[in-house]
Parts: sequence; C-alpha cells; structure tokens
Amino acid sequence: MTSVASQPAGRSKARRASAQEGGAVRSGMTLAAYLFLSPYLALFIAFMLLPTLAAVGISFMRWDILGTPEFIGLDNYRQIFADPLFLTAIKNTFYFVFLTAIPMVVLGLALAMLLDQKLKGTAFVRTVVFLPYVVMVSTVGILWGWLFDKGTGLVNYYLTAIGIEPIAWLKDPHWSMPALAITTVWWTVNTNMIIFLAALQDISEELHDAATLDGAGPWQRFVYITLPLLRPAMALVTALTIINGWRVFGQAYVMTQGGPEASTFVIVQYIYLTAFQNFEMGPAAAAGVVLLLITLVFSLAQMKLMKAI
Amino acid sequence: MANDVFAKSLLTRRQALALGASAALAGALPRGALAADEKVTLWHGWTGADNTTALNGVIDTFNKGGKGVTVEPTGYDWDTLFSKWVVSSAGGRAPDLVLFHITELPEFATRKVIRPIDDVVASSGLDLSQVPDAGRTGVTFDGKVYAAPLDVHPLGFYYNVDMVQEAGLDPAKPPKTGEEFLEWAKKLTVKDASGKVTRYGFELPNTWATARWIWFSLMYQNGGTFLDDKGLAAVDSEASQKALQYLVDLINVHGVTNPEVGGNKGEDAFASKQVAMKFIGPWEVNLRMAQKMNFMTAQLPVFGAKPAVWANSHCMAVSKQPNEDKLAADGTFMKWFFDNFAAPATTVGIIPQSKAVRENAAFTGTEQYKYFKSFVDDLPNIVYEPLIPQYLSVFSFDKPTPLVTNLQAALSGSKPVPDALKAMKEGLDAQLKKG
Repeated sequence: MTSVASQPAGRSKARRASAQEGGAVRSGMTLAAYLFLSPYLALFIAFMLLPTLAAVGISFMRWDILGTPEFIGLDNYRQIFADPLFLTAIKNTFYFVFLTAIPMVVLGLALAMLLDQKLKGTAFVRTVVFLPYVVMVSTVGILWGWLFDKGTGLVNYYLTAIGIEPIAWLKDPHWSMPALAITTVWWTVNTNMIIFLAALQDISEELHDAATLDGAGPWQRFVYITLPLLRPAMALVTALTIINGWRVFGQAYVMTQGGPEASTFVIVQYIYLTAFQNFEMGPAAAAGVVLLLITLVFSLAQMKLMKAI
Repeated sequence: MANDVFAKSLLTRRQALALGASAALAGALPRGALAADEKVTLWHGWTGADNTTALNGVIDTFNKGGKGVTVEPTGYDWDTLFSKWVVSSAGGRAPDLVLFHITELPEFATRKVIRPIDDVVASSGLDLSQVPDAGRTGVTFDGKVYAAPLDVHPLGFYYNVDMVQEAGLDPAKPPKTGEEFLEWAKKLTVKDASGKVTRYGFELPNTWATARWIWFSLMYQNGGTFLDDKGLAAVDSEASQKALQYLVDLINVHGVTNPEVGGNKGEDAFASKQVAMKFIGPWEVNLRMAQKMNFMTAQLPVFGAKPAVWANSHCMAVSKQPNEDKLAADGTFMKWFFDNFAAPATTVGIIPQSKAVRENAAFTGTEQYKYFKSFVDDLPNIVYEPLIPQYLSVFSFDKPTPLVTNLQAALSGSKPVPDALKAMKEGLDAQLKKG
C-alpha cells in the first residue's frame, strides 16, 4: 500500500491508463469471443434451445399440428406412462445402452492405444477405422441387414464355419438388439477412438520414460500414468456414449422397424411415430421430455461417479 | 412471357432449340398456347429409381402436350410425405395434388387436408364409370368422391418355374386350392442328407407386412372380416383363427416355410433361391424380370370357402388450399393421368383402375403383361383393408402395433394363435376407440 501511495502521481496515472486500456482490450476480446461464438449460438438457440423449450410447453398440450393447442396439464405424461409400448421402448433403449456403453468405451480405448503406436501404416489403419463414421445410417442398416441374414449373410457364414448354428439375428427377438448393438459399435466406436487418441497424444512421453526408468512395466504405466491422465477424456466419452445410446433411432428404424415383437422399439421411434404418424404432438413431446430427463440423470450420475473415482 | 420461361430454370440446349422453334411457329399457333402454363405441384411416394423415372417421364409428356398446365412432381418416402404434407397444410403451403393409398384417404379427409373433388371430376370429364365398384367406394368418404382412383395392386402368387419343373410339378397348372398348394410346398422344400432344410417351399417372413396381407386374404377367404358391425376388431373370430393357424401349421407342422427366411430390406430369399414360392404384389414383376428369373405368376390359391385377395390402390387427391384458383388445372392433369396410366402402371408394377386403360394395347401389349394377367384376373376378388381414419396407426408398417406384434408372436411360436389374436383384438380395440 505504502509503495503505491508513495508512487509519483504521473506513474500512477499511467498505470491507471494502462489498466483502463487492459480493461478495454479485455472487453474487446470478450466481444470478439462472443462474436466468434455468435453464429453457433444463434443456430443453437434457434434450432435447439427454443424447440426444446417449445417441446416442454407442447408436452402439456393437446395438439395435432393442424388445430389450436389446448392446455391439458399432465394428461400426456399420464397417457404415455399408461402405454405399455412406451414402457417397452424405455426398457429396450436401456438394454441398448447397456449393450453398447462398455464395448464402445473399452474398444474405443483399445483401438486408440493400438493406433497410437508408431508403426508403419498407422495412418492408413486410422483412416480405415474411421471410415464407417462417414457412412449414412440407412446404408449401415441395409449393409448389416445383409450381413446378418440367416441364409446368405456373412456373419452366419463364419459362425457356421466355426461350428455354431446360424442365428436369425434380425428376426429373433432375443438376438435383434444385440445385432443392433454390434452394428452400432462397428459404426460409431471410431469417434470414441479419435477422442482417446487425441488425449493419448497429449500425454507427455517424459512421464512414460521416467516411469520406465523407475522400473515400471507396460501394464503399470497404463494403470498409473495413462488411465489417470485419460480421466477427462474417459468422462467425456462415457457421457457421450450413454447420451447417444439413449438417442438411438436410425439403425433400429432401418434394420428392424422396432421389431420383431417390439424387441428393438426405442424411445425416439416412439416419439417420431407418435408425432408424425399419429400426429399426437403432446404425448410425443412428453416422451421427449422424459428422454431428456433420463439422459440428464444418467449423465449427472456418470459425471459424479467419474469424479469419485 | 418469355422472361417467365427463362426465369424458371436454366434451359437445356434441347429446350432452347424447342423454344426457338416455337417462336418461329408462333404465328401458326393459337394465342393461348404461348401463355405461361399454370404450375401444379404434385407430391408422391414413388421413390424407387425406376418409379420416379417412369412418373417423371409421363409428366414430361403431359407438360409438353400444350395443355396450359405444367406439373412439378416431388417424391418423398411415404412417411416423410405424410408428415410433411400435414405440416405444410398447417402452414398454408400444401402441394396442389398428392398421390397416396386409398386406405389412407379417410385419415386425410378427416384431417381436412384434402377436399372433395366431385366438382373437379365433373368439370374435367374424368370417367369414374371405368373404375370397378370397389375402387370407386375406396375413394368415397362421407358420400363424396375425394380422389381419382389410379391403380390396384392385389397380392399374387409367384413361383420359380425351374424349381417347379425339377420337383416334377407342372408349372402350367399352379395350385388352386389349399391342398394343392400344400402339396407343391412340400415337394418344393428341399433337405440335405442331414435332414436340414436347404430350401423352403414357401416364403412367409415374420417381418414387414407380407404375413399380414396373406393372413388378411385367408381370413376373408374363410368368411371372416377385420372389423365387426360396431367398427371394432373381429380378428379373434373363428375364420381369422383358422387362417392364422393354417400359416402357423405351414411352419411348425409341415415345415414348408420358416418365418426367419426373407422379408427384411435387402434380403431377397426368392432370388437367392432360399424359397420356391411367395405371395406378393405385382410390383415385383419388373424386379424379377430384371433379375432374369424363370418365374411365373398365378392367382392366389383359395384356401377357404371363397376367393379373396388383399389389395390396395393408389389415388390422386387435391389438397385443401386457401385459394382454389388451380382446380381447373388440377382436373386437367388428373384426367390426363387417369387416361394415360398404362406407362406408369407397367413400370411401377400396378394394375390400372380404368377398364379402358387396363384393356388398352399400351398395357396388354407390354412384355410384363403375361405376369400382370393373373393379377387382373383376381380383381373381382380383391378386399381392401378397412377404410378407417385410424388406418395409419392401426396398419403402420414401422411400428410394433398390436397387429404386427401379435402376428409376429403367433408366427414365431411365442404365443399360441388364440392368445395372439385375443391380445391383438384388445390392442386394436383400444386404437379404434381412440377415434
């Protein structure tokens, strides 16, 4: 304090000016940041936030698109929870998340570890692994529909070759969801791989070198260096995988249309058909809100769990 | 006027030449022919590459015919078409004309997205007397005609001629009764040395709508109906049980079919020789011809007391618009399309509703006609699914409805037939009462 008070007036003035300038620069930078963000923000608000808020509103209305919405309180929520098909959809979607979440994270990490090696041809293999991601869901669905065919499909061809009886993957209610899970893992595990790969490349070589000098083997380095440093990436990947799992739709719609015997009927298909086939916007919006809450709860629980580990 | 034409789109060289030629001939043409055409938008669900090309080709011919109307078609898959149409109607931007199935008509009429067209039919001269009674009834709702009936596509019987011959059967004498059909199915089912079936006599997939159409046909053949007098489901009737039990027995008792074979998108059990016979509509004729399969078609055998065969039809309706100044143009195209339906019918694989078109050499003279003939012969036996406003939700292809789920459960053996039909009735009644 004294030193400041004893400063010559001119210096203090200059400092104030510089502070003001700094403030101006900072606010200028903040403005620039907002400007850079604004295109995304505008689109996000127009096409995500406002429709989401509208959906919450519509979930309390009776509305068939053509008429005037009418407020009916919680009736839509009562209707969907009394609908066995909605409960089946929740159960099926949960089963899908269960089937895909662990392989998506474990396989994503394993692939990333593999492709993080400095071997010849790694760039090519990375491209090959990432390639399915650019294929459209309808193509993926039709392709795997062929692969899973009981009579002529490649999957059963190999199963038969190792002495396993052919499975009617998409026509047997017990196998249809595992078939969708396998398809999904093949199609999307590469995004998890990319995130893990980026995170792996962020880990300093020196840490591994130091640990090696201290006598740590590959497994110890993986457990005590790689895994802890991957925690943020792991949290992100797990959250994204679970959220995407709950939002599954395209594969089920193209490959099985929710069948056989409703075994692959998922929440988003329920929402889509309720809204655009039955034109019951209220119950569809209510189901959307329920899905939002489910993903929120799962994400928060998962985040908490990751912090605890 | 010329500016309007140029503003529409960039001209191809051929169009530019045509325009030049038209200008040169302008003096010889009546004044009206040079006036800008009235534009009419048409939405349809014929999205297969061949179908779109066929439809666009026919529309091109119309557009060049100097009728003062230019039709602009847009294709969507059926689900997208319906949702987009209803939403566009709400926003006052509906297309002028829409092509869909007659079974969906009551729903769209109830939702008031289409308007009655008795006046358009009368003023355009569209001759509905050419259409069989069932087709006319199908486009009538609340006593008013709502659409132009275009075609009919009944279920038919396809069989692989090579396999039939190999089995020592006569391909010229396809089965006409349930007993004869079963005999064929047994002889056409092939097993290897270990007793494992390598080819089934008949395709009865557990997925998609085929099983539903077959069961529906057999139910009516047995004297049953889908709905009772009160408009509720009659699917637990004796006729219905008998029909479904017959199909389940084909799987479990006779072993001539397997619900796990064929049916899914991309799977083609008939072409890949996993089955020898199948029941499907005339829309597969062109596919089988392109695959160069040695196949033939026949009328559906009569399994019950009388012939009956599932069918559906396409029709063309006029969207309800705030402004009705395009009705004359709509009518001009509808009548022309109805009268010139042979080309799209042949390419799409459907049977024209109009008797005049059906019997015209433009249809009967095609190479496809020898396969279409059995479908034409079955027209007196067609049965439409109930024309109810809840059609889309009750008969949805893409949703595990009570209808689909219970039918699949019966065929897969997870529910006995009576239990499956009882559960189906309960689910259907709940849907039907919803109104």
